[in-house]
Amino acid sequence: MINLFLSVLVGVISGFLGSLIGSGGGVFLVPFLTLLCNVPIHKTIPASLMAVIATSTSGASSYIKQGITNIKLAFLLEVATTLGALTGSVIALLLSSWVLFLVFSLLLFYIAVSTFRVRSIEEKPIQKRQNVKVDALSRIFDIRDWYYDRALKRKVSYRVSGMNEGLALAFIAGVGSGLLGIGGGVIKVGAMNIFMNVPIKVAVGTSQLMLGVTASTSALLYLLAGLMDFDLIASLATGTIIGTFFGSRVMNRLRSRTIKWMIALLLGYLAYSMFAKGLLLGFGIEIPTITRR
Amino acid sequence: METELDKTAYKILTAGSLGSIILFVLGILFRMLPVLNGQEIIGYSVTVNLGGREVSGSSLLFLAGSLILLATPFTVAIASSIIYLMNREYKFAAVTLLVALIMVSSLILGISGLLCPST
Repeated sequence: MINLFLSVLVGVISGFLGSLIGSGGGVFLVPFLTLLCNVPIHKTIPASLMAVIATSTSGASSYIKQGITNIKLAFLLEVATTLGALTGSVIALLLSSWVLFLVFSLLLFYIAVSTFRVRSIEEKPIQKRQNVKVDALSRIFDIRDWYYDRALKRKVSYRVSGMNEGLALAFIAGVGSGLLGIGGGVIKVGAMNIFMNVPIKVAVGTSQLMLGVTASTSALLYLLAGLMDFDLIASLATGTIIGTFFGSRVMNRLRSRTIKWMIALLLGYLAYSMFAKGLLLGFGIEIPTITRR
Repeated sequence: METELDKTAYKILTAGSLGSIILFVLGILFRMLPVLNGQEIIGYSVTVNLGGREVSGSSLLFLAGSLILLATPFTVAIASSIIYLMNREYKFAAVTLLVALIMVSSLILGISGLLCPST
């Protein structure tokens, strides 16, 4: 069993690094625990999901207090996301460890590349789409809302559209969450902002609430499959909350591109190491890494 | 916060988040006490018999914190459903109830024991 204090430390570092790239820390937790601490991946995924729930519940309450979260939209998308999470966790339980290592490495490669691209998004804010197409499903639920933007010092109104695309992407985010123990917030925020005409701040707040609902759907299945290590969960959840708390405060002050590049390189290396471990476990093929096997 | 739902969801999330984290920190402190005092492990001195297994006090705190954490999103879904019903917003009451049902189906699938983890 992994040392309690070591897992708190892993949680703090993962939460800190995760908040720098706008994720819950799951993308770091799983590789750190499997590669550095040799925790079986089937036990790491539920522990990571519980850390996601912990950061989501504390973060979501803050967004709700600020009046940013759209609860109606959150639960509407959650129909697809929880179904996806259920599907993902069933697949994960049926898959062998080496397959999960390979799939996770692909995800890490994708996030590493995305992290390079975040720079340009920061420099060029996402534009609100003009001539938004309101599909049939969006008309049926007709979600219109507003929030007060403190930076703009005015009310921002919006009408949710593009429900079909949003639900499809929410399902994919759910599968990713259940399969790999990540939050999937990046996909949800992107779906809401790009396809559903939801302002980015509302998308982030709504996604925070959704993360916990999605993760707990998968986590329940892992709990009953006997894969939950409560010592590991408690220490990781505590560490991740501490790490996220400090990371989110540092992130607002960071302007250096170097940090993001370093994190992207770290993610790239973790992806390579996960790929190497997958190859070793699945086919006995050994490729050089600096991490312990 | 504008609506009754916002207020209720905020209260549930805050209570769930704080409750679980307090239990986790207490459990970790239980484990740290022997290190600080150089004495016998206090966390393990309080044991409870669960299903024929001796469980330490800190492990019980971790279990309770985890269960509170797991139940929090489900409670928000159920509370939202009730508030939508009271407000006669039946479409959204049905949606939140559906989400809660999917979560319950996960529980049922787990209890059924059909899924055994692969290695």
